[in-house]
Amino acid sequence: MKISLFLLLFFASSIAAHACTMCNSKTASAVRAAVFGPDLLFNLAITVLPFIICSLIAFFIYHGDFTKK
Amino acid sequence: MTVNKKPLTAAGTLLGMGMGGFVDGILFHQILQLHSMLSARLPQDVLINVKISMVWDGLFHAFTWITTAAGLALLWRAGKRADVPWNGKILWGAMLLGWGIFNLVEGLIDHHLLQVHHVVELKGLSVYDYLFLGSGVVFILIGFMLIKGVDRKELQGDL
Repeated sequence: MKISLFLLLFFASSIAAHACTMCNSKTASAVRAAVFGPDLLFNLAITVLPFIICSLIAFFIYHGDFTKK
Repeated sequence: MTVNKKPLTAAGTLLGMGMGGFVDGILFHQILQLHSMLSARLPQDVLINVKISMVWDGLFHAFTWITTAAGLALLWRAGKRADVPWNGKILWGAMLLGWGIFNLVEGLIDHHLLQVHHVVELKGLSVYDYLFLGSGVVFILIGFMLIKGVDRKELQGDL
């Protein structure tokens, strides 16, 4: 009985997630199409660019003054 | 022994960048929902646009996580070195410096140059975007002053 109730709750809660990114629904398909669409590389570049610049700054802090011999 | 502040400073800077990114992502993107990664390009009153933005917000958080993890790794390595002073002012100053650099870099690129989102999306490019840049400058200055303000005797004592 307890197992049945647990399984019922488990599947009932997952119904609400039918629009998840990897799910098989119209909404999810539209989201995937947009994410992996023509703007993919541009969106990826703008997401990662601040971190690349920040990492370079941290690299220069770690390795110090390049002008010193 | 020669005192080397750079490993601890670099570690703190990376930690500050990562955790500053988390403050932006968790507070502005999720709790207050003032903007998301692509909110200037995709109106956020449409469910599909919200979910697309959420994917890119998730990737943004993935990079802040990686940055924070890298900072922790550098902190561990710095702690094992005999020439690196284990100094709180340097660490906290560097974290503030990192947070400030993140705000300045991310603000300039995303809010001003590319305008993919703004601090308060409903207002577009507004005073809040300039305040965000200003916070970056202030954090950088305070962090830099904290790091530079530690005297040599204190550093020698922290080895």
